[in-house]
Amino acid sequence: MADAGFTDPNEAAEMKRKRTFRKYQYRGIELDKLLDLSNQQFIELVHARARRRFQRGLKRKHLGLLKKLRQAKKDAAPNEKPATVKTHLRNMIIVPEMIGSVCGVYNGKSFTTVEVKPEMTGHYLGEFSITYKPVSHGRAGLGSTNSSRFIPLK
Amino acid sequence: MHLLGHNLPDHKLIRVALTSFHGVSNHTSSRILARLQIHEQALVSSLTEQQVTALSAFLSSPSNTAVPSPTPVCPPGATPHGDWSGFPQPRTTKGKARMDGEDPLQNLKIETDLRRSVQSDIAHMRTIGTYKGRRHAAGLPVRGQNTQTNAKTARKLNKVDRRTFSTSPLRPTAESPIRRPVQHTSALMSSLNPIVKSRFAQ
Repeated sequence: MADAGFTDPNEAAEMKRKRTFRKYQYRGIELDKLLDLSNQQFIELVHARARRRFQRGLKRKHLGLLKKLRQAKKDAAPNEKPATVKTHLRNMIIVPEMIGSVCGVYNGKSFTTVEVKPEMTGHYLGEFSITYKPVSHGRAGLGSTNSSRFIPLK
Repeated sequence: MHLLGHNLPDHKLIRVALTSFHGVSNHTSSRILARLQIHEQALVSSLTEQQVTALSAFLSSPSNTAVPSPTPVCPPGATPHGDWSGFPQPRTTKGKARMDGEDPLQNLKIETDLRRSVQSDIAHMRTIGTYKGRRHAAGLPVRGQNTQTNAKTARKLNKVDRRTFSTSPLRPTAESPIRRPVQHTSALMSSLNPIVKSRFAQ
């Protein structure tokens, strides 16, 4: 959706906000309000597993990731996506603060780029980076089936 | 008795018969009966006209049905039909009240509403690209079960537009009531009768 004709950056910013801020509700809370929630309020909102996690506290590594994402967002040019932050922390729960950031989530081999959308709130980062290659079967090879015995091998 | 497209057998307990609705468990069923003040051991055949209308009104729109205020209980030491104002009333909620303060029966979803919400949940997981959404789309088990063998249920059911499996295919629905097999056979028999008779006459 690259609408040409928006030279004014303010107008473009507003356009972008309208585009990205669709009517999404997380557990009955509008996105704007979701971003304003305090940590405590957010903890009460999420599912039980996440609630337990937050109550036991986010540890140093995860806070470091949040810090890096914050920094990347701050350094990003206006109306541009922030730089990708690579991470191995697949068990990081997506909090509203991370919305709009771009993470590279490690899948054991490479970093999958994940753009955090508002709908992803409360999910784990690892859910968006698949760790295996889905199986897809091709044709059976020569010699693997019984009938291929009768095909001349040249 | 027919209720909202479901055939409730007359000889069954209404508590059991209600579970034929998709989304009504044994527990929900007994809560519904308690809400409508129907005896929990009542048979389907014993329901009065008012009880049937109350049931169908509730099941057709659980969220619009008014929640009745709790029935006052005769406190110990009071006369049953006298004045209870001086006596303390027992607590209306047993144990801890729900945190969200919501009435579970008000948010009850049954039949198509429930199916639709399940489907939309799956579609949501698919659109945001989670692992669970992928597994649904691939027709594989979602919660880490083995796939080397079995995984039959997932292969059968897991799709993005998941249709819930129905155990009784002969259940008549409101749109297309399935005719009783008896009608077919009787029609068949009557058409066969002349042939059979002619055979035996020879």
